[in-house]
Amino acid sequence: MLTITINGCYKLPKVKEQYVDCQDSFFFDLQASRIAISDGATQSFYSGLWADILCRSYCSWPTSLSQQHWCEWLESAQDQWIERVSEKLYQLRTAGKPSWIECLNGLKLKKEAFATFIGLSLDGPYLRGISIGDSRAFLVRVSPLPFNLAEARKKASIERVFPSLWQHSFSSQTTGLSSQHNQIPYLPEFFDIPIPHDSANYRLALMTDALADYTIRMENQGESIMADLLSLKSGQDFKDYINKLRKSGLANDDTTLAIAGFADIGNDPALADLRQESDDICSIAKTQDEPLGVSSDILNETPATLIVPGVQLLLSSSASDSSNNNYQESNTSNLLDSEIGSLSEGDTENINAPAMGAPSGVENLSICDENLVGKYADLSLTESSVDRKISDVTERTSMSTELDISPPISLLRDLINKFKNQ
Amino acid sequence: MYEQQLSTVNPGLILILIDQSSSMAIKYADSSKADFAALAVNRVIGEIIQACTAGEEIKDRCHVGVIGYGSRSELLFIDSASQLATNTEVIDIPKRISDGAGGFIEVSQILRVFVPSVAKGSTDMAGAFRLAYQGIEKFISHFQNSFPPIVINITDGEPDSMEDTKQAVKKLQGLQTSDGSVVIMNAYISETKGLQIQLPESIESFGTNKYAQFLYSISSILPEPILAEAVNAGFDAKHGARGFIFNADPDALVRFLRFGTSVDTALAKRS
Repeated sequence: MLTITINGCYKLPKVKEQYVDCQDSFFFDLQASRIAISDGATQSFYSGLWADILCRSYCSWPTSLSQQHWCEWLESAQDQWIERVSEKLYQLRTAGKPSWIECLNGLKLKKEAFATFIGLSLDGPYLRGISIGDSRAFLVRVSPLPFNLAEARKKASIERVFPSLWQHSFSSQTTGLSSQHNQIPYLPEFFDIPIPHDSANYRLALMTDALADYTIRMENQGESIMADLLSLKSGQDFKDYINKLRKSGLANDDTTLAIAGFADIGNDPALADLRQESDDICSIAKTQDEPLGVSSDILNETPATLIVPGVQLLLSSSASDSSNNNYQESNTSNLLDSEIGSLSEGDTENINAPAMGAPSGVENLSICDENLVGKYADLSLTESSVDRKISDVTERTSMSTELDISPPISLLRDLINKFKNQ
Repeated sequence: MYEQQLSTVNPGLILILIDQSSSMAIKYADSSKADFAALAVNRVIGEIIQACTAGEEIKDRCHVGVIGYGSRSELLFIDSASQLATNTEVIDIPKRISDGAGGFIEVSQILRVFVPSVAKGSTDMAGAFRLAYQGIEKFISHFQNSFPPIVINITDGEPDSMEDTKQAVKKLQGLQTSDGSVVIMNAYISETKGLQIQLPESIESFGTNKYAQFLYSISSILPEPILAEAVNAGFDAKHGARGFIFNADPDALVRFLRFGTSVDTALAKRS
């Protein structure tokens, strides 16, 4: 059974602000194979709380979200937010804190919190997602088999970006989800993508806008930072790296990065027992001093690390049939056999390390094809250009390009009528 | 320049000068100019406190001061946002909000009262600007790298001495932080329905009206970042526009105050 694994989740507040001021949030549930990030709008009302509720409620929602059924999730989250803010008001008033007036006025005036959101989940063989706003999720192919180990660690090519870049480039205003009922919402995008056959060679990197914009900009300039991001090992690493980027043009904003991978854990009940609710992991993280990071280091301390790419990794099915890819399943198995002995828990880096003396035919594997990176050199092109690129990548990797990003008109009309009638 | 983010380390300062002379007793909106101006100022201070509120805490990202002037000038207060929030003198005021279905409902909002409604005496505007100089000089000595202080003067009539006021303003405009010089904005409120002029870039807009020309001349040319925010706020502001609104009606005064008191936070959001 395929599941997501968490390679690291980090967040850092703006320069000179405290961790508690950070309005970003992340959450994941390994059992449900869901991960989400959200960016609360700085000047909105209890936006950090809203971002947190969105992430947690998404990960615990009992059904898969779709265009037809996402409103129930949003309304439930909105109810939770109003309830939590009302509790805050009571606490503030009881404690005699002056800000109770701001809280009361905010509730009376129906002030809203606003947040971007990306949620991803595995649903059978599909990666399903919902996104709104300028946070981004990148599907990244990592290189398992180049000949040079040092080079292998640097190779990471972006194959997909969610939501699609061309949509964002046409929008002059950041969209997001409102915490108040009766606010006509921006409509999120939904995507539904078959998971690549060689899923172990992929990572998902979710980022809030500052880091996402910077990543895309660097990609356009041919100075990709994706491999660096994927190789971060701790909250301190993340903090040091982000502070370095902030000196090179990364916007001073709350910054969140969540990295996930895929693993097939089969039906081993022992492994299922060792899963741990992400709540525990997040609570471990919250007891740390800044910088906050739930990283491989932390995961190593909990049983959940056994689900992190490690000895139980199995590449599912055969490789793609693309003309540039002669990868064979048998070669994959040989790779694994030769690798198992050298892999250690939480040692994500070695997953992608090539086996010395790899079987013949593997050389033609189209992994970190530099042409692919070149194809994405300019990620901010028009819709038609990006569509062409997607088609090109599809041809190479046999991935489906079903990207259903436009809600049907009837749904749009229904939503507008629903909010008007409330 | 004019790009420093607000923070507790480098807070902003909004200093409001409010005319409390006897002419402010004249009817304006549904009350008097004094009542309306006091209410408008109390509202924007409340909005500043709200903007500084992060969850349960009120961050001192902004300081606010008010100077009232009649026959004499008086510094009513100058405090950080968190200190202002401890003010226990409150009133309930109604506010109309959207009901989400195309209509409006009225809800009551708690408003802290900082500025009383006063209409008495003459118009010692020069004294007010001199007091402003003292307050801002002290502020800058503590916060040299902050976004430059913004002074907003609300008046309805000629000062006791235009010349003294010009001198006081000139001295005030010499104060600066590392991020730029003090910005001075003026709002002339009038109960008459004369031609309203917002953020003008030319003195010729005022013809032979010496008083309007005077207020125009003591208003700062809006720096480009602030000019951009003025456009965002809906003003038809062009390069060279000054922070001055003439013959402001109640709506225009509120809009001008909101723009002036949120410039620094708006710029911080965009940076």
